[in-house]
Amino acid sequence: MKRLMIYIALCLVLATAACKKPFSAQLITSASGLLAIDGPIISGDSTFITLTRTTTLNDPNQQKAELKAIVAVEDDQGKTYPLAELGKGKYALGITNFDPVRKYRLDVKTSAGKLYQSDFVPMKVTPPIDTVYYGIDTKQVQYYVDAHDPNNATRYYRWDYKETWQYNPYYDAFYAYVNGQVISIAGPNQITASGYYCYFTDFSNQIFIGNSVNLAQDIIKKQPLATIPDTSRKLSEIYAIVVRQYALTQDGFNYFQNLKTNTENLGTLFDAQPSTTTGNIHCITTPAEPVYGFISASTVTSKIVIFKYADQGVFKITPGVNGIGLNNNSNFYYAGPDSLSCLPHVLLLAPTATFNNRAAKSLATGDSLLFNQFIAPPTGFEGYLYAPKKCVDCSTLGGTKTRPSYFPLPF
Amino acid sequence: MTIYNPSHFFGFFSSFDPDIVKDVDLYKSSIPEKYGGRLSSVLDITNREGNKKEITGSAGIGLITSRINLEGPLFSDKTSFILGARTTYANWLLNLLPQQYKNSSAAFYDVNFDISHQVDDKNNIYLSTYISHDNFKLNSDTSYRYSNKNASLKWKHVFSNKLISVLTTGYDRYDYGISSVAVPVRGYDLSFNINQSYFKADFTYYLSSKHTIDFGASTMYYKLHPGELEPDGKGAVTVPEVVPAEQALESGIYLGDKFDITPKLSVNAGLRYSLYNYLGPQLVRSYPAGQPKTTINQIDSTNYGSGKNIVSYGGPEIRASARYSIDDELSVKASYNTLRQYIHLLSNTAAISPTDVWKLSDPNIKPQFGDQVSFGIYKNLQSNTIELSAEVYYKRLKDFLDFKSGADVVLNQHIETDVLETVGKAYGLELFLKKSTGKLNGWISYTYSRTLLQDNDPTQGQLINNGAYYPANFDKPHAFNFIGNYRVSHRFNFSVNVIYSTGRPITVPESKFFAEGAERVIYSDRNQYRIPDYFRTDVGMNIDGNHKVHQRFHNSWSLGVYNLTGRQNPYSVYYITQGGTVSGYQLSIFGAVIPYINYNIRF
Repeated sequence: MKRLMIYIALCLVLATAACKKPFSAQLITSASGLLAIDGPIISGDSTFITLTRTTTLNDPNQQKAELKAIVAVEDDQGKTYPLAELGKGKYALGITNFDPVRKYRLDVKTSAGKLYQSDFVPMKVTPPIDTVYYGIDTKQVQYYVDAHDPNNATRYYRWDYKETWQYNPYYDAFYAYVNGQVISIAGPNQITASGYYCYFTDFSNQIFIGNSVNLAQDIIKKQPLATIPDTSRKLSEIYAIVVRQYALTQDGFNYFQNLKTNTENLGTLFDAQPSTTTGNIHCITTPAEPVYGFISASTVTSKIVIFKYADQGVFKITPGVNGIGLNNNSNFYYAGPDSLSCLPHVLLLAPTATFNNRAAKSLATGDSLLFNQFIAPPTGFEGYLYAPKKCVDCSTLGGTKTRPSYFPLPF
Repeated sequence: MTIYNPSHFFGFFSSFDPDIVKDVDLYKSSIPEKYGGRLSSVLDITNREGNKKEITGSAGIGLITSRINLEGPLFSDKTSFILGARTTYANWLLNLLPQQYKNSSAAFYDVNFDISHQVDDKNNIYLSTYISHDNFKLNSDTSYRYSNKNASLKWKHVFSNKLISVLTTGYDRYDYGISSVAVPVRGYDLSFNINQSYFKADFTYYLSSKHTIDFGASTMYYKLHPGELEPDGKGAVTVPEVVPAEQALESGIYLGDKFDITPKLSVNAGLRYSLYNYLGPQLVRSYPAGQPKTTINQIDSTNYGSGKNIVSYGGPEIRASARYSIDDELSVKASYNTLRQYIHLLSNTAAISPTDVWKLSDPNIKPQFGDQVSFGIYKNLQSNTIELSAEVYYKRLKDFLDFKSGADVVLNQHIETDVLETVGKAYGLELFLKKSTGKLNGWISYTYSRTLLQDNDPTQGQLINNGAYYPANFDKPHAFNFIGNYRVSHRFNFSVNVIYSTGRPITVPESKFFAEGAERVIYSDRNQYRIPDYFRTDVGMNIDGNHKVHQRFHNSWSLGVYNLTGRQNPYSVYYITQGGTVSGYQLSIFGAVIPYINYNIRF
């Protein structure tokens, strides 16, 4: 009887439970292949403009670069500043000081001969960032930015950021297996020789904008930026965020606001009504052709803030949960392969006659890395320890060993 | 009473209990002057009165639903009651399941309880109550619910054989809400409700054999809660947010004459005057004329005290129709109506759970106005056992509310900045065939109907679809219904129910580009795509026990299958961003074949 009941209940679940399956609309028109232009004109720093083509929604390629275009910034007196092509659709102009009383636009001539132009936009002056700081939510770190303009002239702001964090693998290596020999890498070069300190850099992928239009003074207070969940490797040790601030016009703000509501956090109950995305760039050759993107122009201000989470001990992460745990030799927080997949193997010295063969067998492929001596308490040094590469070499986890110039020493 | 959501299980079952309902009148082409407040159509449901002689009833028990119906005299043969109740009790079964299914739930119940009392030859009193509740849990962490609660008291008084009055007072409440604990710290409960209390007096005066005069007055007080967000679940830190309640009074007086000019020609001419008052307490913002209503353009705001009349709207509504019988079996009918609607419905259709937001007209949002002409031709065949009809209509809409592009839909504290008043046109053709008697009976209907809206106010910012007409959210051009019964024998009958309709329109992302570190989607024009069509076939059979007249109980079995083809009819289509890419999904509720079996007993 119970079995029958369960069967009936299962039928009911199949019947009643909601069923979710992929949906793709039969697109009436192919709106893909249109030009999209990204990037502001920057005064006092380099300008980077990216040209891409729109793709169909189910196209797995994220970016379809527009190559061999002629790109230039033009002021309202006809003076032009050509950009150089960097490849992958990126075009750059070196550090240029634009005149804040002039207006500027972007001209693009594609290799197909089509001319695109943005509207003329004022060169806004961006005030400095006051502070970048974080607050702790139950399950995440939330970054905030404060800024103000004593002249009350900015009002509309946009931010982006670059974040870099230092992280470690499970083991810190003091010995290495190089060209068939075990060598010690302890000493002053250990930081670079071992795979223990790595740096991962990522860029913001959300739109961060704010305004002070409803305030008597042009003050931005506690504007949210990045959030980091407490399970993130970003919180392992040292984290640096370079926040860049741009002044916007009201039109520019409206554009980014629209783009943000249309393209971030889709599918939630609190979604906005979808809308078309109209920027300030036009196809001069074919006026009816839509162009995507918004060109704004401003100076840029930035602030670098560095946080040492481990020192501050703000996170109490339970070892072993979600791949997060204390690593074996310090009180640093460690995220990555857990201790079970990093169990060490022992390469015994004895019998010494076969040591080289055994070492080569275990280590020559590079899939496992040697990291320390094996010390057995009564007898002492009996061999070496090795573990899977991911537990010893941090660069297998996506980062690089190159420390950014603004980053402090790892300890 | 007004039922704001007349369905169970997201449209799977009707809210109206067939054991209780006596009459269903759908007024679409010509709406009598006694009804007001809606532009579309009026579905008037009349319940039966209970049996005054003896207690009778019926009950059914089944795998998914059960129902009971009981009626009979109360204290004396002057008073009777009728009770109808239906419920699902699937949840206890669901609880038997392995853990991963345990959080599913789907349930509804409804109860009708009516009392009618004959005071004397000239006075009757009726009390009607209705309560219904639906809830559904989705993906085991988001649950949806809605409920109707209605009560009304009606006093029918016969002054003479020429004049009859009906006084009615009542209260309606419609609640709906969504709660989610998908992310525990962000657990929320979002709730809405509409409350209305009303009083109306309806008189019918039989002036002569040719004239029947209807007149009356009504008033209704609305109290709307347009959205309240509260933290839900342990550890939730969601910041509570409340959109302030709205109040209004909607009143009307009407006078109509049904004039039988000749036995073949009759005319209904009616006039309704409706008056609407938007009442305090309320904070009302003002915006400069001829400029977009935006928070930045706001010039002033005024706080009105409780009960203060903030703004009034009103105007006459014409209800006219004429019917001409060409012969005993063929007639034609033409009508013209004007209608005003003071409460607006806004739907966000892009989300996983399309949510309705109701809004009362206020100083910034005008009432909707519509006028319509319709024409119908009606033919009966085979001594009135087959009815055929064809109706066409054309309607104009004014100040029909829709969202601006990019509007915040839910919990909007200043919704006037995110809506605009569109003009619209609606037209259609309805074909209907009904065979009411015989071994094979049932009906077929086909409707072609369109509702198109146009944003033609360039002062409010960028025009939706550059000012072209676009389909309204509820525009479903083709609708087909078939209900057929075949009585094989006295003890066995077979029925089929087929429903088809075009999917509702949606706005979808058509393409994408890369900007600001992520994929950015480009949406189509408003409502240029449609979700897949709705199609459902239900089959059932009824097997009666023996038909001996003198037994106390009659029993029967019904069994059948809902959604025979197992089609996964979409409830919603939505797009989500996952790891920087955008994917579309459709969500179906009851996207499977659902067998049922019920044991029924009648006594």
